[in-house]
Amino acid sequence: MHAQISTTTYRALAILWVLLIALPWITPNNYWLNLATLWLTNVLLVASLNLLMGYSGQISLAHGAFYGIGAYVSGVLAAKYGVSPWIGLPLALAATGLVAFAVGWPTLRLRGHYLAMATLGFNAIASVLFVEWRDWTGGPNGLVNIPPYTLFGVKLDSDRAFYFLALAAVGVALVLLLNLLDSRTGRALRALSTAEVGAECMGVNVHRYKILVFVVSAMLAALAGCLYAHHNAFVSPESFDFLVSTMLVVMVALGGTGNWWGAFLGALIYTLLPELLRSFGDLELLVYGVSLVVVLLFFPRGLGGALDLLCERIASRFRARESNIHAAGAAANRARPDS
Amino acid sequence: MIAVRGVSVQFGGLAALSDLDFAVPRGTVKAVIGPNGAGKTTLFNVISGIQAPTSGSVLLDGEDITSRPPHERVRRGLARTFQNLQVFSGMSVLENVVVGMHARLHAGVFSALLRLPSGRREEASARHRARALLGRVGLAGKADLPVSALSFGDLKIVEIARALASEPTVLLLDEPTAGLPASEASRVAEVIRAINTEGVTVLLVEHNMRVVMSVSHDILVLNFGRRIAEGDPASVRAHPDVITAYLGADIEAAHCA
Amino acid sequence: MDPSLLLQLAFGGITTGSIYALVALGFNVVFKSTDAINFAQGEWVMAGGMMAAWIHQQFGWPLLTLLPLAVICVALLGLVSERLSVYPLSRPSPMAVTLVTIGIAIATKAMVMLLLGKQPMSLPSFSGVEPIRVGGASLQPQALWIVGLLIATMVGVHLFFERTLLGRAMKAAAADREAAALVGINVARTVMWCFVIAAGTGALAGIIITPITLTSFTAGTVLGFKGFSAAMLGGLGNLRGALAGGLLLGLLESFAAAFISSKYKDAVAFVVLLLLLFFRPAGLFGRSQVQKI
Repeated sequence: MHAQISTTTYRALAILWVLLIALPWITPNNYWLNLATLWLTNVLLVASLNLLMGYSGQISLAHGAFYGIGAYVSGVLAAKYGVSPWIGLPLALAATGLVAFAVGWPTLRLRGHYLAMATLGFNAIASVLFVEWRDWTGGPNGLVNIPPYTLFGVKLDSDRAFYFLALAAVGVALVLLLNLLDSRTGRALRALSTAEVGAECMGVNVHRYKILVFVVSAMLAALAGCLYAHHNAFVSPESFDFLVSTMLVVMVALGGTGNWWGAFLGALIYTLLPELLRSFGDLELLVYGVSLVVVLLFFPRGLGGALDLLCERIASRFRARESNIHAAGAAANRARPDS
Repeated sequence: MIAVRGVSVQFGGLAALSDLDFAVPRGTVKAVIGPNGAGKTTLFNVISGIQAPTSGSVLLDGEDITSRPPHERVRRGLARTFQNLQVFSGMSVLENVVVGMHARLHAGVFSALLRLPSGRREEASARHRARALLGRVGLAGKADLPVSALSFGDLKIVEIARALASEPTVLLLDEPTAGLPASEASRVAEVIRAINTEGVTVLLVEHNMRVVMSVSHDILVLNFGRRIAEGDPASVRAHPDVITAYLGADIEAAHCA
Repeated sequence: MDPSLLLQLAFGGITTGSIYALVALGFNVVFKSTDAINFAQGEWVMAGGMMAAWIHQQFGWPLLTLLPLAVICVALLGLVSERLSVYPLSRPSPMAVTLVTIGIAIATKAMVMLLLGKQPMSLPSFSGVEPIRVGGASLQPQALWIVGLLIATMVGVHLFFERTLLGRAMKAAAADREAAALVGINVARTVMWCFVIAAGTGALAGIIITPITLTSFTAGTVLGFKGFSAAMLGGLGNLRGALAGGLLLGLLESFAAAFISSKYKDAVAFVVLLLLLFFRPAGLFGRSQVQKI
């Protein structure tokens, strides 16, 4: 179920990033650029949940809330207290991490659906607070006038400028994540997600690692929130509710739980779906529901899993062709008369 | 070296273990035998820390580890294998063994995130040591295969290599030869003897009497969660209660007649 | 402390609590047989109410006709949904079934919107609107219907699972799929019946509550959420737990709204849920799962 991280993964990521850097000069207009920026933030969001679901087998129904805490903490500090978003960022990450630790520490001791339940409750509480702590959050109408990031006095509020910021931020975060997964820690995570008892008896402090995954996962979601807040200049509570959290779980599954590239595909669906469905008008919701079921039925390993299968099939065909060539060459050598 | 004092395990109305008391002297091999349901795996679960005893204590080198979680017991030198396997699917054989070294490696989250050279060096040497271990148990050729490609018998041996990777002083082997043909079983017996020669104390649950007789210094017989006999292989073999437990009272009478 | 106020709050809490308990019941039925969380449960409750309200609006048929008609319609919906989305799953893991029910929920909501319209609708109360005065507090007669239905459904479902062959087969399949299959139980069929029962009881609940709460195609989401929370509170898969969890949640909301703040009542209820989880993770009546090594 897990991504096998190797140098290929790093290389593929690098190639993808190079292509993405070129994007602003390839796209016809800013609409696509903005969509790409949204996609990048969503990649971070889906990847954060994918980390949790893929490497600890737990479901969180609160990633919408963590996304929101990141957005609101950084947004409020900047909009109401004039704190630079660059300082707001680590503060938002720390706040989210602490909250995740508080929620996760008691629940991750238990085996079963408990994290799902606790996160469900937590998201409900967070949603209420996002609305009711009006003096900070602006209430149901949302928080306005969130300033953008600035670099050397230049406001990163143009579409292109923010695109590069997002590209850099998400790129760094993903590399750090890859590093984490391709290490003793990552191996311990893979172990505990496949045979928890075995891992515990091999010296892995399962409880501690589950909390680690949960906290890292929450912080990545919060990072996405910070990027979102300072790009959109406005955030409101409905962007972080239970429905969002549920949809994120679906997107992880559609991409392929635990599949590294699955997060990219899931984020793609999450970003493009509203655009694609718009043309259906009233039928939008129906098409959405039916498509979900169809994909889940035909791609049990998610689209990422289907992609893996495809690559594997292509690779084995190459191998077959190579061995045919070798066989032909060997046969030709044998047929050649000795000189 | 490893001692169990007054351990009882109650599952509701069922007493899986009743007031069990025994010790495994340092550097010896002790086998735990008994009919199915006698409580052998429960005993292992208590010693390794997965199952908390209802009463009693477990001592490792004189230290009371009863309240210590399993991962801490590994650090103190206790390792085990599993009757029904707890291999890490989705990983190669080599990686499974490297997990066994988890407690002996030090690279933390920080080192991982930044890919510090010290961490990378540690990983490389860990993989090297794991490969050597697999060589010792005869699985060097299969080191890079996914565990799903190996037979049950081979996987039992992978688990032994994995347990050895943690450099234990006490090794618990839960039915190491189950599912193995006779030739393989004797290979495992060889491995156990070799491990023991290096000074590792071994406690094993086994049904294969040939293996038990050939490797053990000492045997403990359990039935219904209680000790019914303990001693060297010869005396245990002749013990009337043991014969009764395995074969029934009538046979016992016939044997003595 | 005015006792009649407390009584009033209690009545309100028990009424909403019974609604949550009815929804939770459906969750538990599906959970018992598939270990999955049925996200479509709230939508089926909504569909039942909407269906009944729409028929009443269009044809003016009496309650005695409306009720079984709407229930059967939604139960059929549940059956079709299961056959089309759950049955074809190659690996019906709890996660896969849970995700599929999300798709079913969205599709069901969409269909109701497309076929029955976006307008909120209502039904007349079953036995009038004259409130009954009890000890200084007033109780709506519809509330009695709700509580009555809750008890009847609980008893009915309990008897079904304990006394009928199909019910016992479903319990067996829920306990151990393979073993049940080996004794000749058609496990896939039992899953189908679970969905039908969940949809049917959900629809029934929806019809009974529509006179008190208006219904519209968006009403299902919140109901589903609350029902799920109630099911968790009581212990997933446990029928008595659905009752206890639902009532507890309803009462918590009612009293929190009065004594703490109506704005924060949801948050209070969930704080209690979280605390309960930390101290009694299996829920009020659930049993914690033991893994055999």
